[in-house]
Amino acid sequence: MTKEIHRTLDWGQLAPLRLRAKMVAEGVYAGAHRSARKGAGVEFGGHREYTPGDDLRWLDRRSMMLHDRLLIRQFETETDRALRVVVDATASMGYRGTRAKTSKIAWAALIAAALAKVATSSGDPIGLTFIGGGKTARPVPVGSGREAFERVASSLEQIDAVGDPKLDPDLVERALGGIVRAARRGSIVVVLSDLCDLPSRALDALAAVSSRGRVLVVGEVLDPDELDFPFDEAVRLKAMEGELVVETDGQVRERYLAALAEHRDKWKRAITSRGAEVVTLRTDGDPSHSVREIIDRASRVRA
Amino acid sequence: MSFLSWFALGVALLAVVPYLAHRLRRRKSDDKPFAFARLVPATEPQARRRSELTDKSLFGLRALSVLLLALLGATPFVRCSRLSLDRGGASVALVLVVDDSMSMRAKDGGESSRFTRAIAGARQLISSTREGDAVAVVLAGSPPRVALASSTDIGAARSTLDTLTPSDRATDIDGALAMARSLVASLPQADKRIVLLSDLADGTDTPLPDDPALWVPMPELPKEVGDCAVLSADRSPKEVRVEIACSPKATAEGRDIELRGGERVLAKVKAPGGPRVSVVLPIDPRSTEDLDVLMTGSDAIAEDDRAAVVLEGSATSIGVVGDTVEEVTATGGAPVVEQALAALRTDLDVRPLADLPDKVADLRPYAGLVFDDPPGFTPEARHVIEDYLARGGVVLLALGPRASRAPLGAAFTPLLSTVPTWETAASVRDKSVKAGEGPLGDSAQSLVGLDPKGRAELADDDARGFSRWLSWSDGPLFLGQREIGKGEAMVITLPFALDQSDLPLRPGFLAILDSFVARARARLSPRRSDAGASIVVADSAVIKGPSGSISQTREAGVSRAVLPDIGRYVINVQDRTEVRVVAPVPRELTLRPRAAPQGGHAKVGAAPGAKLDISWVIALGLLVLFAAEIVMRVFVRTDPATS
Repeated sequence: MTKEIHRTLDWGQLAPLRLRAKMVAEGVYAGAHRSARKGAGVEFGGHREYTPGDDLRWLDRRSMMLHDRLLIRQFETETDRALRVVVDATASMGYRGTRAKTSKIAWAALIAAALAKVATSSGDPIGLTFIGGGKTARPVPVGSGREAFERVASSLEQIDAVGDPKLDPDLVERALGGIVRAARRGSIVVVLSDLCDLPSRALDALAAVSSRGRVLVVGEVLDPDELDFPFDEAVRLKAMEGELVVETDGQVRERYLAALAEHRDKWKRAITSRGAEVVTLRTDGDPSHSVREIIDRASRVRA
Repeated sequence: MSFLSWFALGVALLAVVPYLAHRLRRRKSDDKPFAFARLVPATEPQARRRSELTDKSLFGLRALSVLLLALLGATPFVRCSRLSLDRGGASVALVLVVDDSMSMRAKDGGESSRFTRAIAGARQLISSTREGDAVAVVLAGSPPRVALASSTDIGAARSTLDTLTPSDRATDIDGALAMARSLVASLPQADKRIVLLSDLADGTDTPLPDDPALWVPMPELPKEVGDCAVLSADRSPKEVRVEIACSPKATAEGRDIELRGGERVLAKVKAPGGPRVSVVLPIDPRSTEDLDVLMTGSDAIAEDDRAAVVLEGSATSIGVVGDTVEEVTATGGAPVVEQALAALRTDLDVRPLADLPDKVADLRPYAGLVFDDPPGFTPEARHVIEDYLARGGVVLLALGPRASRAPLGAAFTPLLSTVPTWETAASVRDKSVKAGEGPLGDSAQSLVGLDPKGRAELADDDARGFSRWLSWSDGPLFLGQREIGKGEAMVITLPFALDQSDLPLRPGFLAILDSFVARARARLSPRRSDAGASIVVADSAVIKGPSGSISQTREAGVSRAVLPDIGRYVINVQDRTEVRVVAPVPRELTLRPRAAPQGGHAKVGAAPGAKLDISWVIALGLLVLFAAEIVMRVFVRTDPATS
């Protein structure tokens, strides 16, 4: 059954990913500035020439005596500047409705690539991890520069929506566990997922990510058909994870929307109660706007 | 069936296409993925059922439409099991000979009787006629009758079939076929066909004539079945004697014979085995009610298991008054007229009478009297004969040389006012009887070329008083009939003596005697008569039988009524009431069919499975289906619950 649902990543109108990601990132740059988070800290970061106006507390007297010139001591902060993106690649992310530009996972990949472009352009390191995805999931360790973006884009291009959290309850912990161990204070973690059929213990994993000064933004990727249930005539709906088949028609729309709202509200309350942010990403929306909102939410959490 | 027929019918396989399309469409619907399917409630079962019902109805309509289309394509090649005429382009003269005898009441094919199936077959045949065809209907119950003379009005033929009912008559297939042949003989259509719708059980064993125009289209009707019938139930003062006859394949053994007054059982006895048995049931001599005899159990024909009880003592004989001495000398045995009457095998005894009784009461046992060349009647005899005729007796008077020599004081009143003369001139011997007149029909042909030694001649006044049945070739009366009182008299101007003519040697002689016996039976016969026999009644008589009132017909100045069904008939004439009982004809009980001619229908050109174009019926059905689909679609669209 899972094989029937698995499909090659539906890029829809987003291919090629690199080009689109750069275009999306260009839309995000407006108003942004290069990240230069050097300054007060505990780790020595080198010397530089004194310039009037520098804080005299960081004037290195020994170097002045040795080199007969004024040097200012610099220290690097302990803040982790890396952006870690987690893309949900379980089977449910393969869904594409009749009105969407692409599938949910392709949309998530575009957003992730755009974020990577924005981060690398700002000099911030970028890392990539997948929830599910099977053998197509190739995580990218944190790295900087254009090469890091290329690796992230390459990995996103090959991802496929495979995996059922119901059958593999540890899927989320395995994906986020490494981030919890490696990411330090100040690092930003963006999880792009539809939050569909995730086990309850996934909340604990998300809570662990958002602890210890890390910034967690959850991008809730949803298809328009999932948000308004456009079916009018009798239809048999099959869950993309599991064996469930439901015979239904348009008469149940209100009840479905109520159930969906309750489901989303439950996740949103659980995530925000742990200091994280939830951003809803419609696959028929503007990707630049979505990326900008993720960055804004991350900034809000950091502040 | 040709390749084209099979090909057209093969199109019917396309009827499953809508079903397959439906299945394929449903399969696509089944596999529609949806990530949040767990959050979607299932719909109400009622909605699903409504959807399925609508789909099935539409599917049924479409499948039926495809089937009808296939049948429409194959229609010109389809053969139907309906009876129809396999015909060319020419018009057809068709005679439907429908057997309405008692044996056709048998229900050996389920709920419907043979007669009902025969009528259905006749309707199918009429449906296959076209404009210009002539249709006639002849009934084969005895005596055969023309229900509809040849007519091109097909509607009249259908109406005639609607009026036909089965009867308890005997069967006369040969007579009906002869009548059918005479009906179509003069018609202009070159294609003449006689269709016999009968079980062929008329009591004879001879096969049907191999007539190329004859077709017996319903072979399922001629089938020998078992049946028993109550032939008679005669009451004497202390008992009722019941006679029972069975067909070869049946026996009445073990069945109860009940004597009933109304629905009350007065006496009962078990019937013994045998083809023809009689039982006796005791009865209270003081009983005056109408009695019936009923045979319990069931057999092929239920209508003949009941009979009305008749009082014994009615007339049972024919009296022959003649000079036995001369006749015996001439023939070496009984007088020739007595032998001829015995040869007719009637149920009436033939009794020679040397002299006429002096009292009319003594003539009560006699249904008819035959006078063979009497030398006039004495005054006492004339009085007795007058009373006898007034009470309904029938007299046959043969005039010869002795009649012309009647002594003084003897006369032939009330039959003749003048003593006839006997002509022996040579010129008389050249004369012969002119055939084709009177009720004897074709039987009179055998009287042509008689070789008489003389002939009696009536006075003109006497001759004018008789209805002329046969005449001599030069004009004088040969055989005549007249009514006197309630009775009637027949006069023939030749004696029955062989030395005077060869009349007794001609078949026509038997026909004359048969006609006389039939009239005697009709007038003074016992109160029991055969089903289908006609009786002479007064003009003012009102007759009510088991199936309602019986109408009368007037033939040759005599009112007659035919009693077609078994049972009791009440005849009211002014202030007098008479009861007649009609019994089944024994030979009708054989129920053994005659052999039908082999391959007759092939010569006629008709076949049970003849081609029948029913395209218009199928096309009409298709239109109805299309209209139904449109209505259903409109209904489904406008139904708010479904939409």
